[in-house]
Amino acid sequence: MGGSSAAQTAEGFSLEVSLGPLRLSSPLIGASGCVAFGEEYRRLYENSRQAMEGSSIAQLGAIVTKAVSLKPRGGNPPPRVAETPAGLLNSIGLQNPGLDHFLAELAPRLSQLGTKVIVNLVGDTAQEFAELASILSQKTDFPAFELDLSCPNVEEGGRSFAMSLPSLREVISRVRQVTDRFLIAKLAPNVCDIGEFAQAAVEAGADALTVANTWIGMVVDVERRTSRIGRTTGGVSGPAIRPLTMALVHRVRQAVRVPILASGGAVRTQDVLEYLIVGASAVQIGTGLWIDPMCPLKINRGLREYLARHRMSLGELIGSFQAEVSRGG
Amino acid sequence: MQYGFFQVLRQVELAPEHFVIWGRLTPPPHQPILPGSFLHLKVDPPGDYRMLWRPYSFLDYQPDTHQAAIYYRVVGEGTGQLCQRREGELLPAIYPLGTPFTHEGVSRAIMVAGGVGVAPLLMLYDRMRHSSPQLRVEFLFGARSGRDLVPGLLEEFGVVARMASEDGTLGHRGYITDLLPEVLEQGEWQMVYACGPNPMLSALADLLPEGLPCQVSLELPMACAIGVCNGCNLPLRSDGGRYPRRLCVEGPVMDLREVDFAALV
Repeated sequence: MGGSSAAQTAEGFSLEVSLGPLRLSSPLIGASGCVAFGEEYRRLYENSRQAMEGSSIAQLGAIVTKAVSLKPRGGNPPPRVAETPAGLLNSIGLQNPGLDHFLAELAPRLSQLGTKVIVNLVGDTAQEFAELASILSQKTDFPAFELDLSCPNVEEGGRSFAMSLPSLREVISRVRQVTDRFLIAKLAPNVCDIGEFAQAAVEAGADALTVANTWIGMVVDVERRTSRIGRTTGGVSGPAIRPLTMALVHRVRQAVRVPILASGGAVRTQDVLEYLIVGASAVQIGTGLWIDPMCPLKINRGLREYLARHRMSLGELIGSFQAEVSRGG
Repeated sequence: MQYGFFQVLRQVELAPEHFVIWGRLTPPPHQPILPGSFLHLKVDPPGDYRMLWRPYSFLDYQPDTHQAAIYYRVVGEGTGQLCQRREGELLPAIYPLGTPFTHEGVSRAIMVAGGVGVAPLLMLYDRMRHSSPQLRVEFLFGARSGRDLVPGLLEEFGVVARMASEDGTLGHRGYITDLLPEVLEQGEWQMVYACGPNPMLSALADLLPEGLPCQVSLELPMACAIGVCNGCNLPLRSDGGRYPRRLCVEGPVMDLREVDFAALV
């Protein structure tokens, strides 16, 4: 049955949420690197309605594309992934076909995807970020860009933009000068006080923040006494990092007022509720799709049930965290 | 590919640690299940949302009943979970995945299997036997120990194999590839099919004469299995370090000579 419109809910509880110019039918967003350019999940969900009624890419309010760089990137040598307790260590290396291919082949198809699209940008220099944003603003009408400032895999003078306040400011302000699109800065979790980085990002012109990227991690193969992945260290994602990232979202919520896209280990309704309560306006689903590909559908159902049970709107839920716990007695 | 369920019908313990799990694919697959293709399976109990899924090659598939078989050896956490799944349980799955073996026009083939890598080759043998009455296959099966050369499995498929074990407990003592030169001399072979550990496949690449094509089914750690994560991209000789080919989509069956085994570790 076609009509998978997220607005038609059993209880009439809407999951609509606005992120700047983006009006999302659900606060769930496919995380960058975990949904490629949307095509595979669109197809999988379309083919799976017999097993799971309502299965559709539209269960995700939006997707964030795989990072797009000026030139194609081949990525890192294998092995690129290793499972960790309740998580995944990866070192893909921002492999992507580059801007020209994106513009010629992928962008036209993305407009037919069936959900909103946020383009993730990555560069080696602030200049590259600005160039990308400028070209994409001229040649496409994607309403929002996410700046991948925090990916720990690509070495740039030893650390990522998101780990140094000056370079974070520089990239965001350079991009801000060349585009009026909704700018989301994706922050790194591995910093002393993410609140400072959040403030710096907003001051430099970010309209929203993704909190956060994967956590730097490592797994050793003790028989061979090597790393389990090709690039020694990588990024850890999945349920293992969820409480860690939850605390970051909480911190960032206190530091700035712009919308937060939480990203870290959400798989179940409970996880998304936690992020929303703490103050995220949207929650990215990444590794969760590989633990339960149908989790967006199940979470949306669960969110509606929760809202119905508590007789509240999604807007009322977001940021409803009570800092003081009343313990009675 | 589609999302559905592998409804467990039975677990057959062939030998200690060696199992075949049978299940019904529900709903039935929209696409044919072919040798070399695989399914991605949730192996931990329902309600647990911590583990990644696991890719398994098909050992067998009955199109009339939609029953599928997976052969596995309990080696780690995933297979440790899988062997605990019981009749009636519905394991979420995505199927079928990957690019299968091709065998059109092939009637004289060598199959080289290492350990649990025997599974897709047994299915391939079975399909080829039905499509090509003149079929001649020389089947080579090696493992670390004779315990891993589970005989009941081959009998089920009517396969008589030359065997080798590294510890000498069954068949030739040594590597299965040791037996290859003799077999190569015994016929006009059209194709070699292989599946097993990378060192075995790498040795095979050194042994095969130039004109003889070889399709291998490979394994790498996988996360999504549907082509989005780029976690299983393969080092191929022709790709100049750019890794465009994903094992889960363009593989797991590849041209042996394309694979850069030195980079595969």
